[in-house]
Amino acid sequence: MIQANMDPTAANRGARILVVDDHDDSRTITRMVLEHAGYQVSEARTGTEGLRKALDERPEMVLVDIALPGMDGWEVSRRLRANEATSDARILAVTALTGADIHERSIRAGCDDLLTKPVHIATLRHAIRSHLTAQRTAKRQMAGQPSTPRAASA
Amino acid sequence: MSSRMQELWPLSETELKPALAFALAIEHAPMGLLMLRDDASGTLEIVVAEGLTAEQWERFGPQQPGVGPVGVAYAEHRHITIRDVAQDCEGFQDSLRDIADCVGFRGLDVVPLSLGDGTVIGAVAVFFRGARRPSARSAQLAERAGRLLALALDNARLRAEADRRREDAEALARARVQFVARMSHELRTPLQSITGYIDLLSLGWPEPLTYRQGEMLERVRKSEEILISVIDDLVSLARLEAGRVDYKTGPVALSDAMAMAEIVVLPLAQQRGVALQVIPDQRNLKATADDAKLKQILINLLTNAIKYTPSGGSVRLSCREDGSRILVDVTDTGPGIPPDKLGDVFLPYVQLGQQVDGLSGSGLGLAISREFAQGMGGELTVASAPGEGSIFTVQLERHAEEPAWRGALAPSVAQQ
Repeated sequence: MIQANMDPTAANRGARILVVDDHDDSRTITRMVLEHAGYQVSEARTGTEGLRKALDERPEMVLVDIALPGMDGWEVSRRLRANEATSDARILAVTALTGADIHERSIRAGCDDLLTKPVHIATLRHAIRSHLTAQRTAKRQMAGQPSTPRAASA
Repeated sequence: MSSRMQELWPLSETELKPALAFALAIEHAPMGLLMLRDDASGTLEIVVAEGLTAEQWERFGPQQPGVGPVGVAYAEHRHITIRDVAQDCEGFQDSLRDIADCVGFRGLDVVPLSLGDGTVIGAVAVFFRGARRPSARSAQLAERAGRLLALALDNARLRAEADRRREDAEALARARVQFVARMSHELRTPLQSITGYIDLLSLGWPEPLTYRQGEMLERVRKSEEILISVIDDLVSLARLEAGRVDYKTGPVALSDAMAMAEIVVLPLAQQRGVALQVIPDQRNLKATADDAKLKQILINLLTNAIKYTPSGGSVRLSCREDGSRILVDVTDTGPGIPPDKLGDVFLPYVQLGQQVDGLSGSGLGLAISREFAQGMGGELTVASAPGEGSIFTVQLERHAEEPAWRGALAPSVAQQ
């Protein structure tokens, strides 16, 4: 039952996801859910550790908490975007912060989307799936692969 | 000015100097003092002087009510004129001459600063180098100037006080928003653990739940959802009270807003055994409103009505027009509200009657709804009587349709 619910689309299976969060339970739950769904998950407790792991592991996606001790999630996002090695990663802010400007500031810092805690597993899974799919589509187009047969013949 | 006087009379030199200059100009005097009452010590303190050295100012010093020309003018509310201290101190102590020598005056004129209601806030003393022979008319003019100055200074004080109070209130509201935002963050973080584990368990992980366990977990989830909505309400209200909510108003079709609210509250109505009647809008009414906030208001009002209506009762949602306004009514067949409680229903943190089983909330829904309605240029009112149910009415600005001819005319107007 659970398998059916949690499967990513086959193409996303094995995608690397880095979870940056100082809250242990949040990381644990996210890891359980994502690993079960077939993703490769690694964790970081601070922004600095997150950046280092992102450089080492080149994840397809980074889930980043905003209110981290030391370097905050926005700064992490800016640095991920600024570095060519990590600039392609999809960044989802996952935060307990609420407020009119939180979403806008996250987008300005380079995040692709924002989820407000508490996040339901279904919501998280859905967001990850759709962003990974969007990322794959974008990469295919960047690589010059035809998106329609007509373009191919041109 | 001492800090205590600055507190009592929050006036700056740029406000005080012209006041004294005005009195000097009226009396054609070269020097003078403006003194204001120090409520704490009961004396009159110099707040600004013209034509006096620091030393002379010091020598003059604070004045006791009833003592000396300034003290008497103040205490007895009367205009004191001393023509020539060298000739006659006119009943005042001879020590006045020492001060006159020190300051360098012979004529002296003191006008009390009295407000219309009989209170005196201080006095203006002006000094003449020579002897003084004031006419009745100039004396009258000086008294009028005194009253004008008193009013102006008192107004300036009231305004400064009001500004300060408003700034204090704004600072408090900002602090509250920050506090609530921080609390919200601190509460949401552990809620992530609760939500996450509830989700995992109810997905049958690590092992399938028994029926009873599933039922219990469902109750945990319901409580958690209430907790989240209470936190959201607290944050919303703090932001509303601090004026930090933006309204994106535009034309909103009433039928859409009503249908949307109906979808959200229908499960609750069914669960509570309350008939939900939505009277369709046949006239395609449009209001000027913030779409999301209007829906939130309707959801809040309907939820509230359903909560307080006993099983078998009904809740009705309808809309009508009234001149330039559009009115949306939420009518219930609940117990109604006693007249002495009607005024309280929109107050935050007030909930009437007992908590309804399993449907507790923050008690902020109506307060937030009214803030939203007012923020959109509308209003939220209630009419009710015990035993006769309640009607909550949202008043909104009717959206003014642009007449078709204006659109057709616009290009040619622009060209002219």
